[in-house]
Amino acid sequence: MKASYLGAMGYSERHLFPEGWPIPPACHDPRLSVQSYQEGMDECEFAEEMGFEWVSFSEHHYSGRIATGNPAVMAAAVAERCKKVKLAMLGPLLPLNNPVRIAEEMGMLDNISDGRLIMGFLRGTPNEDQVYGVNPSEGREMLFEGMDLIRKALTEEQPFSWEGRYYNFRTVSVWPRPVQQPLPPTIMATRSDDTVRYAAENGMGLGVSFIPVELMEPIAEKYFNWCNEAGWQPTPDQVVFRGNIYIAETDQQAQDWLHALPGGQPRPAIQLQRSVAQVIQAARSGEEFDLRRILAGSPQGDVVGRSLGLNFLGSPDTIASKMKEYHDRCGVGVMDLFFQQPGLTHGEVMREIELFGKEALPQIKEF
Amino acid sequence: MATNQPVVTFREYPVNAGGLTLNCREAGNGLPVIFLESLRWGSQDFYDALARSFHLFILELASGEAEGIEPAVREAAEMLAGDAYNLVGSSGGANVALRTVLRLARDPEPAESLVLLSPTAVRPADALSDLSQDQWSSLLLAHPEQFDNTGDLPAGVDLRSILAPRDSDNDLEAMLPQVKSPTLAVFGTRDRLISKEAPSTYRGSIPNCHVSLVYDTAHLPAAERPEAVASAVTDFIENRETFVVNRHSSVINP
Repeated sequence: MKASYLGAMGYSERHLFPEGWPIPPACHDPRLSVQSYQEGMDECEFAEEMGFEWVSFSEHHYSGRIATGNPAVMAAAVAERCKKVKLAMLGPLLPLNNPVRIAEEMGMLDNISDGRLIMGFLRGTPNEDQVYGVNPSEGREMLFEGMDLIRKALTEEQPFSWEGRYYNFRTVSVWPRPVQQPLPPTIMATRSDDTVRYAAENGMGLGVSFIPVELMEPIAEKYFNWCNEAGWQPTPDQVVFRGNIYIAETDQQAQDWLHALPGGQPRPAIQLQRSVAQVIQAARSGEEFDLRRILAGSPQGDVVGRSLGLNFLGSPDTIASKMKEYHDRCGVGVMDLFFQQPGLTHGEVMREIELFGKEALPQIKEF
Repeated sequence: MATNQPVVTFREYPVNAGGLTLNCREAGNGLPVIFLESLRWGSQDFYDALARSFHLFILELASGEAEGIEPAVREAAEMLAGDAYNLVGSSGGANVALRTVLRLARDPEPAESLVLLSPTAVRPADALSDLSQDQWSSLLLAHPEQFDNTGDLPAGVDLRSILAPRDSDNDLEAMLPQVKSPTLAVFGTRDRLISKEAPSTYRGSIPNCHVSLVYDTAHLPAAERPEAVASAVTDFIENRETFVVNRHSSVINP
C-alpha cells in the first residue's frame, strides 16, 4: 500500500471560521493566507521526504478548509517543490468547469511534471453546485459527458467539434498532449453504481472518500466484478481511499485530542441552511420538494451539516491495522490522507507526518 | 424534437436517372440539399429539421442498388437541384456521397458542401465481416431502450449491404486529399462500426474537412440526437468552414 498526502492548503485559522458555508471573504487575512500556502507546500515536501508516494489535490470552493479552488494551480506549484511524488488530481469538479479547460490543465500538468499526473474526476459536494450555478439535477449527466469529452480531447489526433447535451465546442485541439500515452492513470471518485460501472467499463480506477470500511466493501466488490466483466483487473494503485487521520504516539493521546474538540468530533466540513441542503438533495435525487413544508419545519437560518468523522485515529500501530482492513476487504492500494484537522497547527501536522512516515508507513508498505 | 415546430410535409415521387428509378421525398425551401438515405428508419425528426432550413431532397438508395449507383446520384441531383447543391449522406449513403465526389469528380464540383454522417467506407472497425442481422442492428443505436417511438426496422432491410465495408472502397482513403468540397464528417462517440482513427483520418486527409463528434450516440446520431446533428449540419451547410465561429449572443439580461 502507498500513502498519499492531501495537499489541502488549509487556512491556518480555519478553526475560527463562523458556522455555515460559504465562508465570508472578510475572514481572510492575506498575511495568514500567504503563510498557509507556504506551510501547506512545506507539508507536501516533507511528506515526500517521509516516503509518501502521491500528493493529491481537490477542488473545493468558498472556504479556507481546503483552499484549492483551482487544484491545477496548486499542483503546478507543488510539482516544482516535489520532484518524485505523483500528482493526483482528485480532483477537478467536472460539472463546474469547462471540460476542455480541464483537459488543457491535465495536459500541462503531465508535461511540467514529466509524466507524474494522475487524473481524477468527480461531481463535487452538494454545496458546490451553487458555486458556478450548476443545476443539481444535471450534475451527474454533466459529469459523464465531461469525462467523455476530456478523454476524447486528450487522445484525438486531429481537431474536432463536440455536439454534446451540455457542452458544444466547434474547435477542440488540446495542447499539450499528455506525456503518459494514451492517457495518464485515471481515477473515478465516486460511490454511486452508475459511476462505479463507468469507471470499470472505461479502465479507470476507483476512489472512495471518508466512509467506513464496511460501507466501502460492497462498492469495491461491485467495482471488481464489473472490471472483471469488462475483461481487466485493477492494479493496487487503482483503488484509492481518502480518509481523515489523526495520529499520535499512543491511542490514549489520540483519544484525548479528539475529546478535547467541541462536541468530541471534528466540525462538519460543510454546513448549509437546512432548506438549501434539502432542496439540493431533492434536485440531485430527482425528487419533488415542497419548499413551504421544509421551511415550516425548520427554524429560519437553521444550519445543518454532518461530521465526516475520523477514519484513522490512534497510534501508528492502530492506524496501520485499520488501513490493513481497507486493503484486505476493499483492495485499497493507495491511502490518501487528510492530516489538516481543525485546530491543528502547521507544526503539529508536520509532527504527524513524521510520525506516520516513520512508524506507520513502513507497516502499510508491507501490505 | 420540439413539438411547437411547424409540421413539415414531404412530397414523394420517383426520379428516373442513370437508368435507375430512385424514390425521392422533397420538402422545404432555400439552399438545395441532396440527402442520400441508405436506411429509411428513425431519422424523421432530423429530416424535418433540415427541411425547415433548406430545400431538401431525400434520395432513397435501395440497398441492393448502392453499388455503382453514383452516376444515377449525379444525374438525379442535377435534375432536382441544378448545378450547385449540398450533398449529405448517412452511413452507406455517406459512402455513396464520397464515392460520387471522388470517382465522378467535376470541375467545378457541384457539391458546394459535403456532409458525411457516419461514413464507413474509410477506416471501418475491425471484425465487421461476419455479423448477423441482429448484430448489425445492435450497432445502430447507443440507447435503443430510449428509442421506442419509431418501431422495428423495416422488413427486408439487409443491414450488411448498407453497413459492411467493401473491398472496392479500398482506394478511397488514398483519394481523400482529392475531395474539393468543404466537408463535415460526423461521428457518434459510441459508434462501433468505425475505428477510433476514422475521424482523424478524414480530418487529416481531406483538405477542408471538419469533424463533429456527437456525444452519446452510435451509428445513427441523426436518429438518436436529431437536434444536435441538425444544429451542426445546418450551421455547416449555411456557413461552411466558418461554422466554427459562434454567432450566438452570450448576453443573459440586457
